[in-house]
Amino acid sequence: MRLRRASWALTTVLLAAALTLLAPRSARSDNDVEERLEHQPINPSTWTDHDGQPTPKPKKRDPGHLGHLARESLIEPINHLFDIPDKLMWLAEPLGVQKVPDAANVNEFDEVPNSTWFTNRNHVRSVPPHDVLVGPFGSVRPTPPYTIKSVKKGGFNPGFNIKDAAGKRWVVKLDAPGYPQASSGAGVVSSRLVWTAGYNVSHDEAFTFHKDELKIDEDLVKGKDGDKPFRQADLDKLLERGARSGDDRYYGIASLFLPGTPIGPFSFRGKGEDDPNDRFGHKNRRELRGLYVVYSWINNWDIKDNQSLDTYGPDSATGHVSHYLLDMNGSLGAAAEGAKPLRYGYEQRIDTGWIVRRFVTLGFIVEPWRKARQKTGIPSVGNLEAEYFQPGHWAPLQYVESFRRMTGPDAYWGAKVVASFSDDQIAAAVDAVHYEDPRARAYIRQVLIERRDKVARYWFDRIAPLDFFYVEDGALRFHDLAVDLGLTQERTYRIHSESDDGRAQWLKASSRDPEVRLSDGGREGSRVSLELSIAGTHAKAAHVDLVRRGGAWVVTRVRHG
Amino acid sequence: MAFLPFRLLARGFEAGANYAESHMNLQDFENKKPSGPPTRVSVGPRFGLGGSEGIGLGATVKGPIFDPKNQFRLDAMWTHLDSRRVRLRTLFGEGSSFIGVGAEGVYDYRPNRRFYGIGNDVGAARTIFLQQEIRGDGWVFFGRDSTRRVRAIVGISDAYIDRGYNGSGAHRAVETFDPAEVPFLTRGSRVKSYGAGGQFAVLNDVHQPSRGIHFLGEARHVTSADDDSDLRFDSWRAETRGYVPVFSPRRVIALRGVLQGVDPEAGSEAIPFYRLPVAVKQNRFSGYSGDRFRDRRLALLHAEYRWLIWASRMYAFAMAQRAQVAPTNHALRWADMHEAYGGGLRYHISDSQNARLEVAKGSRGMTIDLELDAEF
Repeated sequence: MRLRRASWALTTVLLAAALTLLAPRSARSDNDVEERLEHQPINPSTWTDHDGQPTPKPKKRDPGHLGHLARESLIEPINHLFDIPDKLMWLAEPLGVQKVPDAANVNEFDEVPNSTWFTNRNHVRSVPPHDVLVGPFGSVRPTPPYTIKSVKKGGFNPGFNIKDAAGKRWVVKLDAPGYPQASSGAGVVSSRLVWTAGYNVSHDEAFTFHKDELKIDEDLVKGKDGDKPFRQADLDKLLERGARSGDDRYYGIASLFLPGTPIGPFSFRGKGEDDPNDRFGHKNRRELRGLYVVYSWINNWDIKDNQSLDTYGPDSATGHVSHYLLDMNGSLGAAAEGAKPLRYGYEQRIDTGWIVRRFVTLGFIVEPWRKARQKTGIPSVGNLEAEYFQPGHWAPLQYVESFRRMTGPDAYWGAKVVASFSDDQIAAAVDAVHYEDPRARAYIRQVLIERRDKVARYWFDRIAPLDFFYVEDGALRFHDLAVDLGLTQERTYRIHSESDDGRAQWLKASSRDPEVRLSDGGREGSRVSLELSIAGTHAKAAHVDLVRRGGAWVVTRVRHG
Repeated sequence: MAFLPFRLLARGFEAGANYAESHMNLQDFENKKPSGPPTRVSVGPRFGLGGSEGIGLGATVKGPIFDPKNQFRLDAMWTHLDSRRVRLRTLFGEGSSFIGVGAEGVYDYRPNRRFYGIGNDVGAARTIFLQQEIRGDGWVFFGRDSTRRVRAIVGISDAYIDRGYNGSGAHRAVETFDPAEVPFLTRGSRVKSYGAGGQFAVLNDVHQPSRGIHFLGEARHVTSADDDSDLRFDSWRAETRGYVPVFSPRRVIALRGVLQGVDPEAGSEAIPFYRLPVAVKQNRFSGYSGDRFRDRRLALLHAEYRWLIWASRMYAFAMAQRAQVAPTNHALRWADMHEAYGGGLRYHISDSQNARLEVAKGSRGMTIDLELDAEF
């Protein structure tokens, strides 16, 4: 541990020196709000990050899609390949050197505080299935007739923005012909689950409509903002690229406009330079690192900066930036074009590891995605399976820096979030789509349950899932999440206790009665550190620190892995 | 700091991608292109890289002529060695009717074309000459499917020959060779031709085959046209390609054999050296420079094992080749063939374009060849 810290201290000093010499001076150092925030002490045991303080509105961001694609798919993987310090750290890992620093925004309970990014929901207090069903903004659905206000320009799916009869604005994207409810269904299920996990998402609804319920806004017909006029014939052509039912209904997903003013996508790498509330590099935020595990569960292979949005609101006096994850249509077994290409979710777009393996084996290696029986034959589902899914080897289509920096404790946290979902909650998320093909509902529900269990087993085998520590009646009590979920049989724990007066002892506990008796005595302020591991497994131990305060023991710090 | 140039390159690449995005219709870029001929005129960049021609830059304009079943394509390229090439190709009825017509006009100007003499000698020194050719072909084809088709062809070719620019420091051909030994060393010629060609393929996938066989052939009778030469000869070429999957379509043994020849009629002048079969482009001998070998016969046997390494587009390959030029069929001998081994990468850019990077070792050393319009 000492070596690990020393190596990071050295790296930090060197980097700081290099950056001081090379980096241009920031132009925003006179910002009052920022100064106020910088000098505000942060209590690391807090459950709230206080990052919603009023700030000036940041500038709009419009990063290029292709540039981002080039950077994350090609440049960064190559950059990483030649990242020599990273390779040296990797070589030194057996000596205890930690290649990646710990997540920056973790409180003393090894949890992520509530923030404008994340709200502790399901793994702290179970979300009722009905709330999962209705989604983040309650029972809101588009009401006909709909006025098309603008037409979607980017992306694969055709779509448009509408204003419904209730005056609400929605972004509509159509499903691909022949794949009704595939992409939209995946988007709705995934966004419900991701919201329940604690993230901010858009309110998505599976949506069907008749052509005669659509009206084109007059400004659009005339051609506004220099765009070509959009007329009925253009709409007919656009709708030809969408899935249609036998009774002439079109299928798609409707996403409610988010509250506040859109700023632009956030980066999964750096932080918002002109947002003083944004204090942690995004690549070091635990919720963005642990998102890998959540996305692996729902197979949200299509992740990139442009699938996120920062909004500013509610007004300039009290406004701050909120961070949303968007557009999960490329998840489960779906893609914009209908069924997901078989490779997606198993390999990155440019996956140098697999390219080398195929090259060296003269093409004889058989990749997991070839072995996996993904083709469901259900148009609303696409290509999805649980059998060959490997939670630690799941791959989004492109390089995501926060995912690359995910540590064991980050992954454990993500797995804890995923494992918190009940079968009923999963069923509720699936029911939100109202799949017309009954096979789709049953299949997706079953696969999500199986993948959830795989995620939990995989990560809980690596990091001891001993959590939710509290002191009661002079004993430290805790939960074994794997036992609670029925993933494993009864088991025993080996506990190494070390107090600040130098006394050390080995203790034992059982999952039947998961507790550690603490000594009754001890002076005020005395400390004890416990290392709890699971007998007969290689899972990394949980660490708990306690302090004697007011005649009782109080948990002061929890760490996993 | 050592990586600064790479970082700048990466930044430039990223910025270039952003620029491209802001100047193109992203909807079209991301959507899958519909199969079939293009329905509107498009303009695109064109790049070239060839040992004798240099690094080239140009443009391609293509699109329908009133109707998508009638297509045109105009390619224009200029290289840093001042080679210039313009090609206009039009097809009427392509893919839509059993009978169609096509025409092609080419302007090809090469001031540094390589010449190593006539024959199979690997030791000959490189010289250069200037070749300018204006060529026109017209044909009627029979067969809707482009891989099962015969065609009747007429053509005309006007070649102008000169000393060459000598910018690369190589000797000029006229300074090295005796005009008595090299027919038409300093003379151009104008010829007309007629003949027939065709191809027949049984392939599992026309664009990226892994199983099947493909025959291509063409024969022409060539005679002088309106100049002082007296040329009468037959020119022909036959090629066979075969594909055998190795337990999977992503692993393929690909084979190719080429036989090309010219046969003068009795009483004809000797065939100009620049109208002999030459080891260049689809006849190039791996492991040797382009244009190195030319004679009345050219035979090439090529075998390679291809295996998919990325997506459904990038293959690695390991290859072996034997090839020879000779004055007669009888002079073609296995023992005299030049041998080459190598490997590389093959990238399927589009249904009509493959790029191929090949590193091959012949008896005179190693060559690296990048071909952006590889047919095989």
